[in-house]
Amino acid sequence: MTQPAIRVQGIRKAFGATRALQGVDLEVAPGEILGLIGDNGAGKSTLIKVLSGFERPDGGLIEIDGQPVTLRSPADARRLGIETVYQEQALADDLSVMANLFLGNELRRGWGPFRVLDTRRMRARSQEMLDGLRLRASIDQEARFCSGGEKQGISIARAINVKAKVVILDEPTNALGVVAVDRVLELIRGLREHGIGCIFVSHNIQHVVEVCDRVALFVHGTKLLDTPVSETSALELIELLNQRSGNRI
Amino acid sequence: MTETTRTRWSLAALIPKHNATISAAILVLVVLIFLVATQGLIISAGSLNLLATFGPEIILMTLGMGLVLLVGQIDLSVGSMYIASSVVFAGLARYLEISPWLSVVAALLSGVLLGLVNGLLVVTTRISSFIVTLGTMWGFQGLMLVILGATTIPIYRQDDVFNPHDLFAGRLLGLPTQVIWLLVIVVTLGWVRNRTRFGVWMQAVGSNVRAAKMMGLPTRLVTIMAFTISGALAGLAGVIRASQSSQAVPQSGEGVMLMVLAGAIIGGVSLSGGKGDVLGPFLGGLTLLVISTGFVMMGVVNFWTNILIAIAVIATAVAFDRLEALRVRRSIR
Ligand SMILES: Nc1ncnc2c1ncn2[C@@H]1O[C@H](COP(=O)(O)OP(=O)(O)OP(=O)(O)O)[C@@H](O)[C@H]1O
Ligand SMILES: [Mg+2]
Repeated sequence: MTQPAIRVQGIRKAFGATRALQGVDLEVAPGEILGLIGDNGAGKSTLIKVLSGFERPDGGLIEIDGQPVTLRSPADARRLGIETVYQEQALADDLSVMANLFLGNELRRGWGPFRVLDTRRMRARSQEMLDGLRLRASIDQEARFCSGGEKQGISIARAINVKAKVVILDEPTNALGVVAVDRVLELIRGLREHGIGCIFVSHNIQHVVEVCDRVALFVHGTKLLDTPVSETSALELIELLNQRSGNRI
Repeated sequence: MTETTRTRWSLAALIPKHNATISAAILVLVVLIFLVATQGLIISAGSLNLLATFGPEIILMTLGMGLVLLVGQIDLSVGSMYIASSVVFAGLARYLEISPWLSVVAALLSGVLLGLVNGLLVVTTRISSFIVTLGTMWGFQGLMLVILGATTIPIYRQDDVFNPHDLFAGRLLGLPTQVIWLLVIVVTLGWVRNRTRFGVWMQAVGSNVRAAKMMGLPTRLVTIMAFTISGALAGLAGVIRASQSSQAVPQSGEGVMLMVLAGAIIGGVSLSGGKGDVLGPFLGGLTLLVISTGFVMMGVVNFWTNILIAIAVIATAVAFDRLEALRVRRSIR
């Protein structure tokens, strides 16, 4: 049996009185794509922030490649091979597109304390990264001049182009046009071939059914359903969402 | 391509990409004004000597302020750290009879330490640095006055041995050594800002600290480093001041912080963080020094300096704002 790329158990997280996660178990195998669906406020983004080290859980266990880990910061998570596209924009607007693509992962040359940015290599790579997503933004342009979709594309490009173990995408197709969405879905499928585990959060059930191997449904901070996509359908999932999320306490 | 696009492009090319270009233009303008106003006296040996002797320490602090503003913070305590360092130098040598060189090392370290205190206070309390450094501005100076009182502390030196004065306020290759210090530090900081990833990180933290954190940057460390650099530069400035004047005056330093802040703003650094380099504040600080030296040369009362600095600060802030608007418009297709 293969070791899951990432596995969490009993994750809890509360914000004051809001119990955003009430004991969540989840695992993703290498090369597997897990879809995460659930109504607004179900706790999807909170789970993702816990997995990416941005929020500390109140309790629970996180394992990467079978090793228990403590994620104290996003730096820890990135070091352990977890790349995240956050739901909210995570670009530094004053930095160029290129600088954003390599933020925290800058290519450098030279040695010791005298290592300098390898601008030439980063330029070439960032152009490839943008081309890969068919983005037309210039790599030298400041990020704030990018359109919403371009910004989204930059965040995605930066997560997929790192040798990660797990790529987490929180509603990555939100601001994207039709062509770009197709391209992103294609790239997500591409992760499978590289043996990268993927968690894909979306409100678009159609997309989830289309690319995912498995789907997990969240309601009020708990996982209600976790099933292979082949054993369910978009219609059934939508039905379930309507039934279970509508009646709040 | 049609005719119109080409014209638009050529016009767009005239918009400077970097704020430092504007800072340089302002410096040239100010120099030209004073060339006329002082009938050339501004570039006389006496005037240049004045600039080279008293200018570097202010510019050093302006560079530090620029970096602190770049990470989205502010350091109101530079003036206090500057004077504190000069007082540590003179005080240790005089009251504890510690060797001048050791006193210098202690003074430099005091700058580093006070800057570190600022940085640690800002990241641990999460109170705005405006308030924290407003506090430490009074605190550092108060502490100093409590310990030493408001008396001028002289520094005695023997002329026949190599002493701190020779290193920090002497002459080398026909230049005041403080100018050489300044140039070395401008080049070093410029390299750090433009060529290393730490430079990118400083800008990222100032631009969007949440994004910087999400991308795994050590945001707190970057912030602490910026404050520490500012403290270290203020420390060096204080040592230069004390070496130059052979004394330390605990109750001085008034107006230094505002001058430094104004220099950084003229240097194109944004108060809201995420913008600024090393060259800009260097030029901005120099501009203010040319203004004050110019007025000295004209024999005009000091107060006029303040008025011209006021105009320079506001005018450049407006210029940067307009430039920004132009750049935004250019990018909207
Ligand atoms: N930093 C925070 N402080 C307080 N409450 C929070 C915080 N972050 C999330 N919450 C709350 O936790 C709950 C779960 O939020 P979360 O962002 O995880 O939902 P979501 O499933 O991602 O929803 P959406 O589909 O709208 O993105 C919500 O009720 C939200 O208001
Ligand atoms: Mg969400």
